[in-house]
Amino acid sequence: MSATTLRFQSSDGVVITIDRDVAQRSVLIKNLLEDLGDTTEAIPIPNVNEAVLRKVIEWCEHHKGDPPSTGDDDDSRRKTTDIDEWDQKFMQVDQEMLFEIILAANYLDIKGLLDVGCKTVANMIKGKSPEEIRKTFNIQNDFTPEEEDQIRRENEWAEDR
Amino acid sequence: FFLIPELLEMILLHLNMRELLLSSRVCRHWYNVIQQSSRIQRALFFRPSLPRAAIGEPGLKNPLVRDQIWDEFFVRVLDSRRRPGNERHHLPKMRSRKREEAYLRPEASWRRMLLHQPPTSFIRFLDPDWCWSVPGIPYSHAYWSQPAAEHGAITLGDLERLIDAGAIVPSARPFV
Repeated sequence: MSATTLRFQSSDGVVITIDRDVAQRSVLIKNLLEDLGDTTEAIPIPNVNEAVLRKVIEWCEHHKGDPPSTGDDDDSRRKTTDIDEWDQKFMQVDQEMLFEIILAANYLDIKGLLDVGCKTVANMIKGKSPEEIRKTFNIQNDFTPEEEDQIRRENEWAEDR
Repeated sequence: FFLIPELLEMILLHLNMRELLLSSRVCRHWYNVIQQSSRIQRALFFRPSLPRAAIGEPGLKNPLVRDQIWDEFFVRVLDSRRRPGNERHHLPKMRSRKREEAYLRPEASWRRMLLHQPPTSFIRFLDPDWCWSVPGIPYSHAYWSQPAAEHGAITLGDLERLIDAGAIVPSARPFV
């Protein structure tokens, strides 16, 4: 009989108890449990702190009824950047937290969450000029003026219409 | 955060073509990821996608051709260059000299784009001297046998050469 709950330890040492089926939204954990068998010990999640882990768990709990993602959608991707309402609210966090959630989803291999996170960032890019994108994400423009102008000239036909 | 190329790629793949072209000007790192990601290059119709498993599955038409390039550039008469076929059929002029320059400069990136994904190596075109005036068989077929394009697929640059030479006259809409 496997236990119905599992315990995880965040990178900052906090132990959190989670339903087994919720935890298995993470492919990493699912595989880990298959290797590990039954365990009552707290499983360390070294890359994710408590605050982020709780957000990730909240997402997994809300989506626990979802059909498992098929994973491989290589070129049939980018239908839309639509995000369902609950996920949109869920992603209304500061940029640092948003990035942490995406990193955690990537590490824990939770495809649905990773997808929603990436779409959220993509929506922050859409409709912005390169300068506005840099400002939004605090990115340094490291092109020389000549290099930037060269790229602009190549693509100007697609710009400012 | 953006330093992880796999994650940046995943994010950028949610953008449309125009947004992707703009994003390549953000910084060197974004530029390199966009240039080096074969998935992004395929999404931009710069690189051919792998052949599909299911034969007969409809391919993807280049949406920028459908929504912009065709109407704004191909079915136009130019100021700075002769397009005998288009002129003969009294097609309209480009909207502005500035737009014409943006399209005509040799390094303009649209020329490298493919028409379809997966790419086509033959097109049907309307015979300029028949179809506009004479009812009857409206198309000719052209097979792309030129080794010029590295994969034998038609790029928009190839189409431009044919249109400029008057060999084909673009119909009002692409992909008819």
